[in-house]
Amino acid sequence: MFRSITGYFSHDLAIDLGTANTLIYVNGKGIVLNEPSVVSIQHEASSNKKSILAVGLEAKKMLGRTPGSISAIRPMKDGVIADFTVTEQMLKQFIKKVSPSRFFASSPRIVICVPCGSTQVERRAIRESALGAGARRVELIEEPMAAAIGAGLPVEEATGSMVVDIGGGTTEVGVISLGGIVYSNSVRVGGDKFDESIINYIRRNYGMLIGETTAEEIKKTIGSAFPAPEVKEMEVKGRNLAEGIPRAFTISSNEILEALTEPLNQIVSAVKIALEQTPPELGADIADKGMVLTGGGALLRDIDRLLAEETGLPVFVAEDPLTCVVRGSGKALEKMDKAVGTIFTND
Amino acid sequence: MSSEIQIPGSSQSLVSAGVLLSNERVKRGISIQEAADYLKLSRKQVEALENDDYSSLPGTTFVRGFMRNYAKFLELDLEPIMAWLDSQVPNTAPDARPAPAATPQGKTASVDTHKEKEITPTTAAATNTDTGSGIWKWLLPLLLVGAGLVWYQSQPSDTTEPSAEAAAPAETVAKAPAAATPPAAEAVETPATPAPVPEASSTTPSATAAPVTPPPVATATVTPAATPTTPAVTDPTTTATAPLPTNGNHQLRLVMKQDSWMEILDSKGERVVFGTQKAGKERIVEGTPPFKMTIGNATEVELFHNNQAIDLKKHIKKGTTAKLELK
Repeated sequence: MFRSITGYFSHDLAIDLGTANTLIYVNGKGIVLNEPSVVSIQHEASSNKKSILAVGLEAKKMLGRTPGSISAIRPMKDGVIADFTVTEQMLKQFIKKVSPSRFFASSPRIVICVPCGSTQVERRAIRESALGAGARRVELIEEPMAAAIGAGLPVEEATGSMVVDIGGGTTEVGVISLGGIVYSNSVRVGGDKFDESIINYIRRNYGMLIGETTAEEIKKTIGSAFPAPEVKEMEVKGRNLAEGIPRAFTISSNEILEALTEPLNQIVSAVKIALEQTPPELGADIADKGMVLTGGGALLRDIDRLLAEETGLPVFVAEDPLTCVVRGSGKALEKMDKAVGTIFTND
Repeated sequence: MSSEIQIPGSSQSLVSAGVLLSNERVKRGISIQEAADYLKLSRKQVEALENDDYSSLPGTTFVRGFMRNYAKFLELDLEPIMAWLDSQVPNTAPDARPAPAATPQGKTASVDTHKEKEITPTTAAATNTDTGSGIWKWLLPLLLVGAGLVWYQSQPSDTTEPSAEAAAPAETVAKAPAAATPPAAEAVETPATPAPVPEASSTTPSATAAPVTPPPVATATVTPAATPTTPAVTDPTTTATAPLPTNGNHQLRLVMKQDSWMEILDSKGERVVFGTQKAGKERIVEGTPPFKMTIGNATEVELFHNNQAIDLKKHIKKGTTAKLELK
């Protein structure tokens, strides 16, 4: 009775606290926030005080372009909290942004996604952050489960479904059947590693230094995971390491493919290991249906093609892969009261 | 090829996505087996896709995924195919309904953008009503509580100060309408009151709900109540010994030297006196015995029962509160 009353006044949230982006889904309203997980902090030298200058999109624009007194940081690293207090502040700001400025609005119940490879300490940190940000109750859901629900896979049926969620910090591989995770694996490779590899490749081969934002732009524009018949080119500006002067140069999609080989191989091997570990009955289901790719990494050109060629299984990218995880968590949030049990993790 | 595409108005709609796919495949000189090899599907699955036979395929999400891959392989425009699939096998994935920033990347299917456009106005309306009801959700209980308070305060109580009212009849007149329904039918006039004081001057709880008839009596004696059983609060100002009631009721006279909280119940259990009585005041109440009384600060209160002094100190058991029953 009491819960129904408080539930009436509060707005329950599902949060995909990702390395790259944070998305918030509100029950009955859909996705209300989709912003980069970036916080910019101002240091006041006189009083040695730190205050939050901006979060989200605004802060991302500052990334790599800040003077000494301001630092723009990404508090999430490899899918887990790297800076506890900043993450808590960021969550607070995001929750405030989506909460209606209502008189006496009660604190929300929150479902948050965690990477399946995260440790208990990391999960606890995420839970504490959400509680600190004003949640009434916090449920954790493993990312492969949320991604599978969001992609529309038949998770509650007695059939195996395989999902590969390539996020900013981690890649999660999960095999799901009967509402539970049969096998899951997480490798700390994702969009960020792709960017890093591009930066390293360009420094090594061109002697040029580029920033993370530029690397991300290259990845989005000409990056691909499988050799394409047509070669694309892009002009990039960076600092020449030998001369120390900004210079422009042209880079082709084949070179980026070469740069991405190493992190892509890690993803492929994670998928292959998952297939090896999957019980044969579920493996047969997966051979029939294939696997679904979700997350921002699934937008890398031809990554589905790469995985299909490597595994010989049908692979397709989910519709709207960036929001799969948060939509899946939102669906789980709606089922929260009905106690589906295995969907949420206990620790 | 064009026969498969209907053009009603401006937007294209397909008769069958499968026919479109198989025609394109034949046009490009690709065999079913080649397509199946490329898509890593079985020959049967590709045939099922081309025949629009979705029952033999794993499920809607997979049908939509395979279909997209197939269309991409044949370099066909995804939009009409996905629109056709929407009508055949609706997307079962949870919808990201109003999300303004839900599709930041251009690669996501344009079908979703259509959905968003359709839904946006309704959600905007929903948000409006939401905030509206949000206000009312809180305003309503507040109003109820407020109304309750007003009602409680307007209740006639014995704690009204008679002397003050007698001294300022104008004020009592002002108070009278505030007291929503003064049930007093037999208000007793004070001897000192020269003018017809309105009936609310000393109200008593009474069973009779008769409308108030102003008794413009200016007599020196206390007029007996119309209904003999109901207790009445009289308001003598200076009398040392009050005239006893003639209707068989007993009279209690309380002289407060200091403030005292008290409760006096008559035989029916009705409260004759309740509340804090101010120092220096005198109350005369009538009612049917036995009276059950609880008197705080009893050492500073004098009690007369039918003009006979009663020693309250005897009844003090703890502290200064006296508890007694008078017959």
